[in-house]
Amino acid sequence: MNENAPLRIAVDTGGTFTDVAVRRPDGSTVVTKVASTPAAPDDAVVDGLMAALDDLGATPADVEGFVHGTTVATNTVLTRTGARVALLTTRGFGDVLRIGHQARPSLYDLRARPTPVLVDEGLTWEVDERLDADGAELRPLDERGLAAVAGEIRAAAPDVVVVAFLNAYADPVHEERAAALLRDAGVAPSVVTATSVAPEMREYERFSTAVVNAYVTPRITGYVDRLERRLGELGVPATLWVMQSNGGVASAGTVRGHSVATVLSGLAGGVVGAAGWAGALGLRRAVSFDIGGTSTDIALIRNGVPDELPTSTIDGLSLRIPSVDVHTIGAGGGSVAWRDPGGGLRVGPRSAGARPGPACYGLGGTEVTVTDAHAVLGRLGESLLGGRLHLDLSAAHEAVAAAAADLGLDHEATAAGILRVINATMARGVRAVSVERGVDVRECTLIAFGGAGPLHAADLVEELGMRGAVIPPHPGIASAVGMLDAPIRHDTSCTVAALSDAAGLTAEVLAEVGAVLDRLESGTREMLARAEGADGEPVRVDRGVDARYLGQSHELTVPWHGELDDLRKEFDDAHLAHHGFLDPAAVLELVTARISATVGRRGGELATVGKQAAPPVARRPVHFAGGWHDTAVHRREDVPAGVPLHGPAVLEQLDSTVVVGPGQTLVHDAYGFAHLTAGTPRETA
Amino acid sequence: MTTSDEDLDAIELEVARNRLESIAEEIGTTLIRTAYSPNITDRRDCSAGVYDPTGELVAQAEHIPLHLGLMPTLVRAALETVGRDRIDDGDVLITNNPYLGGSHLPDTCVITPVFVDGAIVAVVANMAHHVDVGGIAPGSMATHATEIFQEGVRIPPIKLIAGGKVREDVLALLLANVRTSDKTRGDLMAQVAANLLGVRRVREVVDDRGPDYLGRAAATLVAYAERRTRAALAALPDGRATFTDILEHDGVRPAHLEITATVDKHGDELIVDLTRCADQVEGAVNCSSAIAASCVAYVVKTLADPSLPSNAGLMRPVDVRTRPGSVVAATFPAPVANGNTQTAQRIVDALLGAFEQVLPGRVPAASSGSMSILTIGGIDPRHGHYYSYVETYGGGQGALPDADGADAVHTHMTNTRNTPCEVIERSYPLRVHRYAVARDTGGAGRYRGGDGLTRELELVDGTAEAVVATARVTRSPWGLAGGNDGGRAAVSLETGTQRRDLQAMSHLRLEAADRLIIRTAGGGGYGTPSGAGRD
Repeated sequence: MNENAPLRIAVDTGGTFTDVAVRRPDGSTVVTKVASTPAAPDDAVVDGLMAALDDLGATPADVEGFVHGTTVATNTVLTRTGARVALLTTRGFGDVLRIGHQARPSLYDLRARPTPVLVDEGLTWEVDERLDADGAELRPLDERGLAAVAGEIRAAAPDVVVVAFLNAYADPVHEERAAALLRDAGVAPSVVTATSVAPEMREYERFSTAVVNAYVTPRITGYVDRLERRLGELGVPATLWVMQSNGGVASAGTVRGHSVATVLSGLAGGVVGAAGWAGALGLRRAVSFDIGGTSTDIALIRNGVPDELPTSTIDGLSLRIPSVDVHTIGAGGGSVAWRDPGGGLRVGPRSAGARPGPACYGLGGTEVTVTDAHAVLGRLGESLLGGRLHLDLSAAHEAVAAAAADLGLDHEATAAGILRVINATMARGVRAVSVERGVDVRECTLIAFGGAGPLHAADLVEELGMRGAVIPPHPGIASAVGMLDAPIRHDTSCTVAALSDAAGLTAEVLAEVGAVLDRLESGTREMLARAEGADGEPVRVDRGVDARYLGQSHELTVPWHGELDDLRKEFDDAHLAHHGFLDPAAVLELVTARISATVGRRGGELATVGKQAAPPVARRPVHFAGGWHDTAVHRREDVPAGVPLHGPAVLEQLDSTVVVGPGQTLVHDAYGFAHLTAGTPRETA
Repeated sequence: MTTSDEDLDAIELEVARNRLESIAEEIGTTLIRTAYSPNITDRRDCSAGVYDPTGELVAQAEHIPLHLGLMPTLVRAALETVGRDRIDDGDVLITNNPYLGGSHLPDTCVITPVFVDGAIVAVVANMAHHVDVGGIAPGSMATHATEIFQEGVRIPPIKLIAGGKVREDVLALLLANVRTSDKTRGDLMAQVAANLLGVRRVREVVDDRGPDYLGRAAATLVAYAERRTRAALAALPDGRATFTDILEHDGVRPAHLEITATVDKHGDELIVDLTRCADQVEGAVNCSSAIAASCVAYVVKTLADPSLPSNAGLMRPVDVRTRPGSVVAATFPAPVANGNTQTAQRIVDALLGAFEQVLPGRVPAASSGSMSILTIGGIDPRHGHYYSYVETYGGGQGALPDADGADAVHTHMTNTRNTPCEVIERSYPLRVHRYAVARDTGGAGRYRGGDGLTRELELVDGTAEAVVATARVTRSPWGLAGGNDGGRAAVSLETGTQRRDLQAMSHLRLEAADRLIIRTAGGGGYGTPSGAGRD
């Protein structure tokens, strides 16, 4: 008899740790962490899986679902270790990638350079062909010229050839013909068209997305193949699902063909988790706030749905694929404090990283970091990760003392100052995310996670005047937990011709767009049934259209119901919500038709936690604004549901430490989420 | 100056910096988000700032360097012109007057004083480049205007909103004089709304920290910026040097306009003398003295420390001297539209040339030298509506003493994005035949200059009016330390089988099937080229 089966498991690869979350049949979640193995990330995935199964006394055969968040695609781009990609494009447009947006990355730093393109010098070819913006042929594809080019491409021995033509979004006929001819000529192991990867208008974004995809595909494919094989050898019956940038998962097979979708996978897991929790807890507006060692990822969540972007970037390269809208700032637990030439105390964006890490990690770091300040102020105990990481408090004190001498401040003021400064930076990031997206931060609840998120939630709620904060049960492993419930998701889109019609949208135009959506939807349903094995499962299809007022150059995605009045109202409302005004007199333009299809994967109810109250495990002095407070230290699992805990207090758990400030109150709900509220008027210290 | 015990400490300073800079950023992002025209939402030709009650800049979020030195003088002048004692809670001022510290007429500044308990505690303001403010050419960026009245409607500092109510008669008068009244109205209201957010944020700071905090924070931040600039200047060698560069066209005709800069760096202070620049000219390349100050601030930041804060303290150790009536300090009624797009870049070149003699080994060679603006407008025969394509083109960056220059990027005083070829073809009766890096236009050198940019456009249908304004067509961007000059810019018109070269600044009529080809200049090289090629 095995009370463990069936298990659903998510494994999230991070820079330092690989996190494992396991959902048991009763809905309860258990977590574990193992050290990452950057040279072969699948080693840690397997280690973590086996460690988690051992903890539960389960076997690989019990694993019914397996979701994986991988950084392989991200790292392939960041370390420039991808495929040799050749580009074939329209004559006159071979520099589209090099020119990019023509903007420089820094206004005042003359040495800052646009990111080098992923197609090496000498691997771009041009061919005569041309369509106009409506897809009409201006010049036929020069097949004889292409035959000559094919020989040159073959001689250059690329791994992948991307065929990317101007205006091909209007009709891919030339791209497809050229790709077929190149395949017949055997120029490379793989030939792909840009429109098959990113079918929308705007040549730079489309070409760039297709090239990034080509660049990462061989490595992702090799990695996924290897991991699938190892899981099979272990006897795991589950299919391998991979986290995508859009917050959904895709099968290993799909990822092999559309690897670019995993490039921002690491950011998505936590946001998807936070969005799920915000929905389950009924939070109308929430800010997902994930603090890591080097950076903090911030995202806005409305009614349980994270904001999405149609365009994102990786290392300065544009990607035209839907992704969760995450704002990353250079502030984390490892951020280093320094004195600038004007005498100001600055913290970050440079980080001590995982090695040497904060001084208190005892790995040789001597620079003072945010984590050292927490240690000196009593907010951290003597060890982390359930005793696996001993904290060298004297090293933290030494690092703070050096900074204090440099600044001419006393010891505590320096440590407290480091936290004030990093909190100010983080608050600025949260304000930017809410304001830029048209939301007042004071209406929002902070969902704080990442190992260090719960250390800062108490201060940020005060600093920002927010409603309060929610801390999930396993804040340090929130990304992996979030992935457990991510749906299967597949997005498709198509630029539609309903542009620049000054007379407004007609019934004919609507019918045309409806037909495009029908075509996209049937393709998507077929794809989900075939590639994702979701045959027979209920598919949720969201139809949308990117629209704008005539004359604008940015679109907003709104739901599509096929009725002009509905569309108009949806768009005006969305414009008001996102941009603060609406313009009922303006003509509406439709730019892109979109399908987002999901197959739900909810693994079960949140587990209730029936806990016995236990007394604090320790008391220690902890420094808050204004001075030291004798503070109770609890194990988080000892704080039962429904019993208010008044600050100051510290709650320790395996993967994080929660701080409750003086005057604040923390209550656990029945599912183990901690709700932190400011109990007194805002402090001005 | 505040005494030291009134100053905030090192920690409070950084907290205040984050708080006040984020207010400036929020005003800017709100404006970018809510504005109607692509000029603001895409190209981000705008900026926002927070000021003390006298109009001294405390924190600024600028999206292009041109705006660095603009609003500080303009906001103060506007407050003084209207009269502080005649400004009440709920009033909002507007101005675009170039002679009062503004730039050119499209850059319109909206100023909102923040009142607490009946007194002004701060001022918030933003400036945005409007798509049209009237005048003889669509887009209000004519090269051939000869007095400011041809450039559009000039707005002295007046109240756009009084006591919380829009002055509809004032607004109607403005909108009656521009070509794109819908967009202008939307953009102005976006500017007003963005400031309102700033007002709310400033009041929150007062609520949180008490009535005295803002003044202390402002004084501390300005003093801090001044210390930063002084520290950065002190780290540079002392010296005095002069350099003259040439502006080759005055907008109306070819010219030889000397732009002469003398820099005198001593200790932690800098004097920049631009008084020997040419007299102001008939055409639209004159620039306001505030633009000249922006150029100096830009060069200080790039050469001394790119992270220097943008507030009033930045320029306290710097004395910028200009001569009213010169091409870099235009006075009424000189036209100024392209002082921003041309002369500003040449002022930077002259400053860099002078600094090269003081700081050998730290200064880049000359870049493409213009914002290279092209406007094509007319009636689109497909639907009978007016269209106006406006874009500025990047070029080659000058090589650095230790690095190649970047290819096909915006340099120095601007940084706006391009318009995708596919969007051009879909939105206008234009076809793009080539959009490419102009190979080998970068000057050779131990480090080579960046290459310029080529765009070849065909008018597909109808007729159109085109205005092109670039530079370095007859004078090359200079190389440094033995590096070769960058390749020159070229503009040409192809009609049928004829190809005609155009001047750097031209105003012409296009017929269907005509092609306009613009190639921007490459950057100068740095160091003697070695036979073996690049390092």
